[in-house]
Amino acid sequence: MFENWGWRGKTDKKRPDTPEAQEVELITLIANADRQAFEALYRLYFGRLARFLDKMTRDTHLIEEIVNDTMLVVWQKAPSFNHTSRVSTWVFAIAYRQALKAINSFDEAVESDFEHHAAETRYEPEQQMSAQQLDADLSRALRALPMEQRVVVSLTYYHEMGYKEIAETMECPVNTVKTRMFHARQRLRFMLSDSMEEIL
Amino acid sequence: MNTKTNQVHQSDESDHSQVQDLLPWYANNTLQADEQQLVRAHLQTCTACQDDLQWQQKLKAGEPAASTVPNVDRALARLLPKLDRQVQAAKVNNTNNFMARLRTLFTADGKAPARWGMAVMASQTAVIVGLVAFMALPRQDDSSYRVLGSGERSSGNIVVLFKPETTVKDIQRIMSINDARIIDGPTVTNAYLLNVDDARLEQSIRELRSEAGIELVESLGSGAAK
Repeated sequence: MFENWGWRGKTDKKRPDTPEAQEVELITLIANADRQAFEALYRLYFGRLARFLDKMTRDTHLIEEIVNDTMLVVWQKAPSFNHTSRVSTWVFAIAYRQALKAINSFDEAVESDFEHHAAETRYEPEQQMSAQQLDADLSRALRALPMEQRVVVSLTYYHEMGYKEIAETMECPVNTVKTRMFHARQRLRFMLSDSMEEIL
Repeated sequence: MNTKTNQVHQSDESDHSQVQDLLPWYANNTLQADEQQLVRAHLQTCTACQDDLQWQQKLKAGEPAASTVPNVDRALARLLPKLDRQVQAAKVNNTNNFMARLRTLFTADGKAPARWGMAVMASQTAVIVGLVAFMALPRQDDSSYRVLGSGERSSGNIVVLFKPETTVKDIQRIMSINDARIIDGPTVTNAYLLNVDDARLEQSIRELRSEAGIELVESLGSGAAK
């Protein structure tokens, strides 16, 4: 994995076996201001963070800025990474906080009105669906969710996070995560009732 | 008997409610073994949860395509100069801390002889006076000598990726005809951050793109980043 991301170790020490152990080693190197390790971690996370942030804002430039703000915090705080959580949970928690800060300061209209979008999103049963249409429907339905529900859905379905990790990332109780997911599912069911049955 | 049946129903309902909460994480395979077992057992008899799981699996498999197109090289090139500033700031802090520690070492509390403290303070003063004098001295025109990161034009506005076969001589020629300076790099992918005069930014980008030895040229101008 390290070779794929261009990381060139400076020692002959045996490389860690698991992806998690490799990420922990990168953080240790970054804590010693190793720029190559930083670039490796940056490239490893860029796509995942960009995909996650795409559910929160539609501004490409803002996404790049949030990723950079996130990774700058990683660079600064790597020495204090305490190993009690996974590297990915730690990085995503920083990204989530940075995103909320950036989006609030830009005052971007990302919080959507559920009823308005729900009405737009529901399709008539006779309407023909294509995979592309379903993609667009799902995208619209997700954006129609309140931000916190959308983030829970995204981290669960598209980033394979457990509910405890999500609670840690969003700094909220586990039960709040489950409640947000429950409401999100109900709303998505309603908005996608026709398109999901037609296509999937 | 009735009481027993009611208890079974209540237990089923409680399981159903619990499993409903856990289903999304059963679908992404992150539950602990005991939770997984509970869900699996309940799914064998509950068609509502079976349907729900199937629906969630479809939703999970169909992540919508991203509506944005962030560029890793462009973003990283903007971040790297900030890391340098961070490192420099940390070095300054460390130096300050060192001086502070040194001073503490020679105070009365540090129990070191006061004469040592005086000597260190005197040498410190001598160094500072020397530096001030050096900076005040008139110097020859040093325009032919430019250090990396000199303040005149310090921010990069173009990222280039040279082809692996491009020689140093070629790079020097390309830099020279475009009056470009390398601000940072190479990154692990051999990308360099360049600075050219803003007035001829577009022209430089066109010329750089026409170079056979260059793989990719990206502007970091505000318009291009959108």
